[in-house]
Amino acid sequence: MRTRRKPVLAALAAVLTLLGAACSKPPPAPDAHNLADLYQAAKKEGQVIWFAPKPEAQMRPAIKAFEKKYPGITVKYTNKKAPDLVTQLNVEQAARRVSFDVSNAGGLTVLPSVDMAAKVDWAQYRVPGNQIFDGNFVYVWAVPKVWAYNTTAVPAASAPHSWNDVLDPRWGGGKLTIESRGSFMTVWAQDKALGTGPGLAFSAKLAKQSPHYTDNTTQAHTNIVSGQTPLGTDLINLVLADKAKGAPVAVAPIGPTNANKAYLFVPEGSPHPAAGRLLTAFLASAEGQKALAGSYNSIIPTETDCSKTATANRVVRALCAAGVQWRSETDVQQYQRFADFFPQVEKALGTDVH
Amino acid sequence: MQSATRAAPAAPPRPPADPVRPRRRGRVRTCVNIAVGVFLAYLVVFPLGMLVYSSLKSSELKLPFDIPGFTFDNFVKIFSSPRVLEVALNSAIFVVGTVAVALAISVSLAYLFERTDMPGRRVLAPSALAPMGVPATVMAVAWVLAANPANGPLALLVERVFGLSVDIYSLPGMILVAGIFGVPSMYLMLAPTFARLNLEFEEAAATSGAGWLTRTRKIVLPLTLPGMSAAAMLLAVIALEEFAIPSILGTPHQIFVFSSLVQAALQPPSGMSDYGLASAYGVLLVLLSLVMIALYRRQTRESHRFKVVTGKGYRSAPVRLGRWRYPAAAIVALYVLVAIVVPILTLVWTSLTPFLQPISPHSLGSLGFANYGTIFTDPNLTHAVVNTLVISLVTATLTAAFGLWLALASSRGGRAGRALFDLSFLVFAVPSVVLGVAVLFLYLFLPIPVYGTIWIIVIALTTRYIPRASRMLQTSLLQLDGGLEEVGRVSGARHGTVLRRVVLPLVAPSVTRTWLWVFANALGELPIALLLSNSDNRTVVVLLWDMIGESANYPEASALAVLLLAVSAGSVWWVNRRGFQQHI
Amino acid sequence: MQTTEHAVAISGLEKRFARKQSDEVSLAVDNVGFTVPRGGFFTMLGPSGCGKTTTLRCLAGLESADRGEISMNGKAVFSSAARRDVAPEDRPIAMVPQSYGIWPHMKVFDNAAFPLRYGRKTCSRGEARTRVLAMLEQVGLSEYADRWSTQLSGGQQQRLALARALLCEPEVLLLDEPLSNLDAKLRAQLRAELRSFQQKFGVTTIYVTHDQGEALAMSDTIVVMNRGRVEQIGTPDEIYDSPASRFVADFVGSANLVPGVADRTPRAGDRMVEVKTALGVLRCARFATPPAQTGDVHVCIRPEHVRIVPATTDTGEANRFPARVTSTEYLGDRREVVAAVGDVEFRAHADAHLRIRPGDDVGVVLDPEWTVALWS
Repeated sequence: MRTRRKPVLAALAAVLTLLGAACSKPPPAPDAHNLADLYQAAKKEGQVIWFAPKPEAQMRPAIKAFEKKYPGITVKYTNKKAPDLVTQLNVEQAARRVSFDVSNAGGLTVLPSVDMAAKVDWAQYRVPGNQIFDGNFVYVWAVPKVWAYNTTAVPAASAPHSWNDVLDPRWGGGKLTIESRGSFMTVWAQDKALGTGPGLAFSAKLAKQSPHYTDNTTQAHTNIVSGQTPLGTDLINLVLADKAKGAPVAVAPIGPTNANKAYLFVPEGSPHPAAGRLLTAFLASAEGQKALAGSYNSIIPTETDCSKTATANRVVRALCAAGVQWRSETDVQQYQRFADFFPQVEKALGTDVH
Repeated sequence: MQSATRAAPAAPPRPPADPVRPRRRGRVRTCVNIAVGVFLAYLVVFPLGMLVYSSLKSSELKLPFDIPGFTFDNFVKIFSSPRVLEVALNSAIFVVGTVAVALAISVSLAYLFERTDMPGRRVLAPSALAPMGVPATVMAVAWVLAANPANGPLALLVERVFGLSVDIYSLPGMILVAGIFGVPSMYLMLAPTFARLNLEFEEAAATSGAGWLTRTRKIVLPLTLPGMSAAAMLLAVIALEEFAIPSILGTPHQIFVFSSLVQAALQPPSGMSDYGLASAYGVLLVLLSLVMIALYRRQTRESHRFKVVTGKGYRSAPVRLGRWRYPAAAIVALYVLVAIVVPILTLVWTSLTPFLQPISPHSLGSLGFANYGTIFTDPNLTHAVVNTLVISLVTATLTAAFGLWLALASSRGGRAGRALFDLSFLVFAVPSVVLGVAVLFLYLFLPIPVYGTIWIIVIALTTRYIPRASRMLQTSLLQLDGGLEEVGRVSGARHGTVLRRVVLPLVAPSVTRTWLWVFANALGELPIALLLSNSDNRTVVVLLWDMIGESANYPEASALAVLLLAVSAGSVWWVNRRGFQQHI
Repeated sequence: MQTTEHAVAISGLEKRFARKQSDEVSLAVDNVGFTVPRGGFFTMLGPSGCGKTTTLRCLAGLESADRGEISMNGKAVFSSAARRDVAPEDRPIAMVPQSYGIWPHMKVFDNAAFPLRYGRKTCSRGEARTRVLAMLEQVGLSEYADRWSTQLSGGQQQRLALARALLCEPEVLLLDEPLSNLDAKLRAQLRAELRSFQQKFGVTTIYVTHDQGEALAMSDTIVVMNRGRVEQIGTPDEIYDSPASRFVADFVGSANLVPGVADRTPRAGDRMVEVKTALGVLRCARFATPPAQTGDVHVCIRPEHVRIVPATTDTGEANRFPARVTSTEYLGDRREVVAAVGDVEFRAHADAHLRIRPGDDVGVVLDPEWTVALWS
């Protein structure tokens, strides 16, 4: 039986040599300088693979609209959590085996994505200038973070009206559900009037309320909807979607808050570069936005804007109705500030694992 | 009269001391065996190598192979964490508690179902196993809905009846939920041991005046010890790496266990997985598993002592419970009600609601089948169901086959077989998601076109389950008396015939159970399926996760979970009919 | 010499076992050799761990010996010199293992039919059925044919195992303590049955046991083994009456052993040897030939050959010594007496109704005809 060792070694060697040889060349960037040419190139590719951290059901209207407008190109959509997405792309690019054409970045995944995005002149595909971010990213929807409350447990009149109201003793002892990673604190690193120092002091006081922590905002949302905890951190599109179904949940008038921008980009080395560009450009267009808005995923003004045109958007309307002010990210440096700030918030909250 | 021959007839001059050469006919078999062995080694060694390699790279924000040189930074980081002691203590309590709870429950169930004449076994036994294919995430959510202190009906009931306020968001709560979650797997491993326990052993003790308690303690427990320790080990590792339950039940009060650390490494605030750190945790778990191998081998070293299936007269007449029959049945029924039925009902309830809400008569009016309608019209579902079934069936079959081969190799394959068996144990402790990463890395770079297909999931799951499956099968092989095989050979039957006609039929119930276990677990396995998911290979659990994780659509997720539960319960029922009704 | 009159011939068999902990190699079987005549009932007797089962397993081909030769019917089935090791399925054997090896997943009929379906000589279904049923009839299990084998009692399982073995039509039948798991009464009954089956089928049988009673009652030839070595080979009465060593004397039956010294090498033709012991000179008519040398010997005498006589009468008989009764035990058919001659205690079987009590002075006579001098 001692002979068994040799084949193992041989197999090892064989596989190791193959390891290096597994590289294939990705298709080059399309030579199309306008949408019509891009469509022709995309049609040749036939399909586009899109990964984003949203359930497919929410994206389906937009996909349908795209496939209707650009027949001959099918969209394959996959829901993937943002950190998983950026990690997968990173790994795939290292292996030169990128498997998708449109990727997503937002919040903490923006910085790692900067180097992975293909360089695209989005303006020539008619993406509005205010939606082009850092050159290669396209802003497609905003995810405003809000505080929400269960309307069965908390009458609208007694809902907290400010960040400081949350520190009221009546929310102590597990009445608050808080996303433990600290992203709900983003605005403190963004708004000069608030500031990171006071933010950390606030976090420390919040920790004294002994909140009911959750791993992510989605879980916090379910706690509020189900009535386990009356008040907590939430995302506005979750609140609005459940409210539409009749759930006893409402946006608390606590502001300002961060309206996190989500971007799409075409990864370097993607298999269908033209179709990826086409889909991204479509989703940024008015048509795409209209289809996305149905599921509360659309762009909103960068700063608080309750004008008539702006409140045509249901998300903006909800924020304005609740009297919540918001700020979105304006430059890529902000993300570095967030990345430095969140671990400190975790420490102040006592939710840091390491 | 003095003819007694004292010594043997003079021996011929001693021949050279060469060992006798193996028989010729065995050579083809040896080649096949070597091929399988090499393949298994490949399945196991590569992810392990990847793991060790990555653990030595300080790769925050980068990929392990983007970094030159090796370093122990990851390990330093782990051991210099201020929480390390707290986490170690919590993990120890969590793991020991979970194993204790699961062991106590599943041993009691296995004993009552397999050894006694307790009424209602036929209904209770499969219902205790039914939720096996439901992912831990879903079960944890179901428990939260059923037993959270604010509005969980179970907690409210306990409070009203006993005046006790129970908090599921605590270490005991986590232990209880994880323990109950571990029961089906453990029961599946223990049942054969108990089913095959020779009644004579107990009778012998009874006749020597030992009471039921002494008998059970001194005879039944020691005889079932290898089975129990193997099962306990399996669960200890599962408890150590399980993250859904600690994450959902522990996070609210910031109770961290080992798996929280792994999870935090994979999803740190910086946004990008720190594979180096995660791999370092994986390596630590592998080291821990080495300790466990040593313990396990010490325990089963004298395995001949535990051969409870011999070719000698054993009848498994059930132990008569007498006046304890109905009380025992009532207690088991209560367990099934609280631990199985209530969480399942919660899921069913949630699947019928438009939005997440606690069970209450007020909202009866709003119930409906809309969620089922939605998931059935989801164009992805059919594809995902097909993927899931193919993955689960292929994985279960491959794993059972390789596991059986490996178990046979460990007991009959000499040193190489045992070495391979032990080697496979090393991946046993690697957390699912870390193993998934290793497999992902491997097939991204290998020119084997499995990346993005269901086959990469099959490979990862098979690798993951082989150690468990082979151990489940090994315990049943350990209990087989070698004489049963030998007598077949001496009767003139070839190796293959003996394997086919004697060994396989005897271990068939265990193989079926193992198959079922793998099938159900593959059905509900989330971390690997999620990590390796791409546009074409998504499974039902991945869809489920989409609903829970991103859209917080618990009602639709519950509807899907109820479907998974139905498949899992169906397969349990099917195996129950076929496999458990053995004549042994 | 491997002539065909021997069904089995073993020579120079050696089997090593490496102990893991101590790294030392021990010999489970050490230079064992014997021959078994065709149709004979041959018993390997010895305490557990003496190597008898290992020898049997080497015979069956379940273990490979490290050295030696085994032949069956003149054909070598194992030879370390020729590097030949015939697989168990290719040896003309059948075996009843200690645990019977009754397969619990098969019915009684299927257990018995196994050799005819998958064995060396297979036959058609119909013929197999007839033969199996006939054999089950022979062993009294015909009405159980359709039962699960686990529903049989111990004795029935043993008979089933035997039926299955006989259906292999073996030239050599190997039995590994087949009676050891049964109660005493059943054991006696099955012992007789086994022997009569063996005689009826005339199959050469090698039987392993640690029970001397079984060995003496059933065998044509007994080989007594100890620590992997052959101590003595002989017929039952040779083994019992003329043990070749202290071990055999002690292991087979019970024996009084007295240490002594033989200071004169007996010449050829001597009928007696004289041994100086603590009691005085003991005359022994039995001794292994030729007695190796002068020196330390043990004198062995069985209790039934120790006579208790009244203390007063002194007939000048040989091997007669004054003694004092230490204890007596009434056993119904006899009285077991322990009498001390000086420091040496003798056990004797006396007449059941002999009226003696502990403390009585008596004489003991060690019948020289049955007194054995042992050089080892």
